[in-house]
Amino acid sequence: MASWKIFKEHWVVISLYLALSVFFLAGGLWSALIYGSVVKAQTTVVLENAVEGVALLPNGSLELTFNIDAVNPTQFRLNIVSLDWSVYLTNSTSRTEPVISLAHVYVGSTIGANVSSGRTQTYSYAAFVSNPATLSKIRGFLNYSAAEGHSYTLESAPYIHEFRFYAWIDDFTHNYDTEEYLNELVTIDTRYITGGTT
Amino acid sequence: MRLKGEDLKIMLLSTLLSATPIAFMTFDFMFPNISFPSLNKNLLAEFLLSILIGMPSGYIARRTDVAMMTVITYVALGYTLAVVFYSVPYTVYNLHLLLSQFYYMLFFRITILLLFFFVLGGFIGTIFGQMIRDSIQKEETGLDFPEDPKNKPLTQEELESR
Repeated sequence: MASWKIFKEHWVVISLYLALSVFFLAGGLWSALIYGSVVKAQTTVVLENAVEGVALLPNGSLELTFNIDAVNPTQFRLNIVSLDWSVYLTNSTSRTEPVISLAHVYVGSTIGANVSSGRTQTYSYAAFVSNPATLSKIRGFLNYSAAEGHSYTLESAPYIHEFRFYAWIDDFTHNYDTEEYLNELVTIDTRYITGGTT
Repeated sequence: MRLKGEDLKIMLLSTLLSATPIAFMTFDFMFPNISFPSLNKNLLAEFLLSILIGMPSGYIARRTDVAMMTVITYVALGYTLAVVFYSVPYTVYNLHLLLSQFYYMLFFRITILLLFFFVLGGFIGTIFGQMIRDSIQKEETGLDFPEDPKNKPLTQEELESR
């Protein structure tokens, strides 16, 4: 009874503030659900179907190829910041050069590329190793491996492919210099390394 | 401070009216890039809005102490609601939360300043609310009891003629 009396006495103010309250509640719930979707997107965007290839060309050069799919099942567009592909051989017995770098391709944000919502984007790379010094390092590795009992060839050597997919989720703009925790929130940073993704 | 049943009802009503804007503003301050509509961490706007939100508790409650206590309760409830919004990825989307202490500490560290603004703005809002209510009541009283011509103060000429 007293409640009705309070409402009757102040119905204009109560109605106005009730509308304001419902508006902010709706805004809060909407924003919270978007936040949940953004956090979930960090785990659902994946790199799949990686195909690594190597071929020895008639002129003695080595052709290295790589294909991978970036799968975006989320409701957001992914604006690519950078794509980074590299191929190398690890030679842990060498103190001077434990990693023999064979190819490296870096594409920055200037390309303006993106992966649309619900789409899969395929990235294909090819590199040729024709530098005699590099090929000689690979052969040195193969010779050493043969001495250790491994029968590698130029085509079957354990080349390691690394691919890094770095993108912003949609257009959630903020101050990128001071609000670092928001950078992490809207970032997709997933990597493929021969044998699996991280 | 002794509260009557009617005071508690007023507190509850004002708390429910004012808690959700507090929750939204807190969450928006944490994630201005994804919340909509966003105040973009504008502290002046947050403060002015918190004054506006504090007004109904001062307007509805007749007692000042009840109005002040209402500010504390709606800020507490609103902040708790903001924490619930902040937990949505782990409650609604079933994601696994690592290092929960750090996760909630980050939220607290970034939004702690707002609590001060909300309480201070709320107190100022209650004062404005009470002023508006008193002004309206004064106006209503004036309309209910119009001035009697007989009780009008005498002019200088009337005084001299007497």
